[in-house]
Amino acid sequence: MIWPEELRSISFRVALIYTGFFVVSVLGILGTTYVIASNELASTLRAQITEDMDHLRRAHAAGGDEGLREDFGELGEAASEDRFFLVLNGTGERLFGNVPADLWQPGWQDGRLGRRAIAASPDLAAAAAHNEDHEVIFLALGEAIGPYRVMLGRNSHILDETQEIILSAMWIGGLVTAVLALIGGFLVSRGPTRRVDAIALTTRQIVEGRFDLRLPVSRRGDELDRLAADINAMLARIEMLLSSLRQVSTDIAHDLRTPLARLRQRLDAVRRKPRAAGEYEAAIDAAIEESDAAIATFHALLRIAQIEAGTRRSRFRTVDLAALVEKTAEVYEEVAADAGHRLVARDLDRVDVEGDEELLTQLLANLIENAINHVPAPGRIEITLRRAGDRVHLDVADDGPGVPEAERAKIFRRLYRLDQSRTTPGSGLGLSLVAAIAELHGGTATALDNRPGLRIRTDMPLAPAA
Amino acid sequence: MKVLVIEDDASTADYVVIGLKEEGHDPDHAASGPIGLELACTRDYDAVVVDRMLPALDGLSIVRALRSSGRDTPVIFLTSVSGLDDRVEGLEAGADDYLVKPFAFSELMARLNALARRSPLRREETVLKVGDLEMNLIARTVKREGRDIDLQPREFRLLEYMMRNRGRVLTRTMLLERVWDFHFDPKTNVVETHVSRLRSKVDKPFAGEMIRTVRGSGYVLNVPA
Repeated sequence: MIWPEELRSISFRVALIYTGFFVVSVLGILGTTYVIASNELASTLRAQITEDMDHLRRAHAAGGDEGLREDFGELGEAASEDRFFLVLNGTGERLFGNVPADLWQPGWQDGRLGRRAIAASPDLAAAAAHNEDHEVIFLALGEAIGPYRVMLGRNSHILDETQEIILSAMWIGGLVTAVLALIGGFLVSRGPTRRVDAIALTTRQIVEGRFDLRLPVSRRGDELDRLAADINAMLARIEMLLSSLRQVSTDIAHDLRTPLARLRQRLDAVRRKPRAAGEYEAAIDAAIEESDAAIATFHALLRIAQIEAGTRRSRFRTVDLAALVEKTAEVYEEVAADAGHRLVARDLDRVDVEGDEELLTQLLANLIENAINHVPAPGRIEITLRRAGDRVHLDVADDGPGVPEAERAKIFRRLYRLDQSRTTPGSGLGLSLVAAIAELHGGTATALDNRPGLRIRTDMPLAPAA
Repeated sequence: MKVLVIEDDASTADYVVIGLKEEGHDPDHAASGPIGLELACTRDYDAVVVDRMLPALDGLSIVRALRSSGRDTPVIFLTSVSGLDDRVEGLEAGADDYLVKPFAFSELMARLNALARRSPLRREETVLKVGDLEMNLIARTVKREGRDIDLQPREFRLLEYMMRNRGRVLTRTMLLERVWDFHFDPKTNVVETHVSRLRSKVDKPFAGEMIRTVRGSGYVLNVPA
């Protein structure tokens, strides 16, 4: 059986379950009312009969048979199609009453009267005429008082009617509840179903290649919105990874063709005619060097890709960043000095970050080397480490030519090189690696104007306080 | 020295095996993990070279099995990607060193030499001596020809590492890893700068050069020739 979409939704199923609960509770409440009301009515009738009977006894005790006769007269006047009485003498002959003598029975009786008994009494016949089934439910108490046998009765059909009213209330109530709950469920489920439909539609478009699309998020902030927001975050991450993957493959193709072509040319040139042993050695050495450079580029690309994949996070430890800066700066002080620069590490705030010491060392080393290689001597390279709220700013600044504002964001791209630095060593991957490592640590790397020079700031979150 | 090479890639295996033979060593080759483990556990080798990725039984499992069988044969791990985690995993499994493919043969040779001839007693020495160069590890002092040499802590560590490995070629990468704890390839001449500073203190004022450059490989410290 194929259900319409609305009827297959989770919210509709929930509505259906609630409908069930509502109906059961409506029936429960009315059922209880039914039992209690029936019992109450029945015992009220019985109490009235018992009281009337007691009244007759007291009259007999006070006034003897004579006193009782007066009361019989009163009973006769009160007799109606709802109130019955019967007085028999010792031999069973009817003295008074509005029901046939053969109905007499000692003790309580409660039941339907036959047609013959009804036909014998005008009051019973009148009572029966009011009822649809033309019967009388007769509740009566028979007792002997003095020489008489007295029976007092009531038409308990009223009880039956009440019960029927309650029963039909139960049916109607249950039905109305069920219908209302079903309609409500249908209406309630329609909103979320529409939203789920919208999500499903977007998802299908994303599957078909529209990676720029995002799931709709309303301002309600409910479960569906939170789910959609999480999925959107996941999509953003996937899109980022995909585009970086695409970029890497393009970059590799572009950038590695050049050294391979050069390598081939060199080998080809030396092979063309016989040469001296020294020439061969030189050519082989050059070829090895050329291929080593290409391999190094491959390694760097793979390393960036691995860092971006984020698996390294499982090895994060608390790292004392100031100590790391001091250690690394110490290693590079003399390297910078040899290149004619001055490397200073100052204003180092004592901060801890959650991270990978090896990669953070490489991040700083790359920034320092970038400055050493691109700043004309004599330059000043300054490393600072400052706490800024719950973040930390690791700055490497120089007083070199800097980077034009339009190019600042691009220097973190893979294999990107400024025109002015085409001739300086480097693969154009050092800063991409810096950006990848910063991102792995939940941070960013940005290029700022140092007036004059370049300031590269790595902004990372501090380690949560222990 | 007897070296076991466990490597399934024929080209790399040839490169290593032929190279070792040319250097006058005695290599055995196993093309699969199980055969390699069997050989490593039954014969005595000075060192084992294991590839990380092998069919049937990978390099990590071989090293773990070898170590749990109680053998402490030095092991060098070969990884084919510049794996960030491969190195740590390899060392955790019980390997002594690692090398990323493709590698220069001289790099492998230098590392094999450094591992294979390691004497377990050397770690406890408090005074290192090479010729007239003397290093006191407790007092943190260095003397040559009886004259004090003033070294920075980093220079001290570099010299200590070189003295502990006297007579062995130490490559640039080995120095970067062991002395500076740098596990990447710097784009500046970090090693050259520091070695040259060390030379100016240890060699220049004295007669006879102790720190020699081995072209295309690295550096070696020994008594002056």
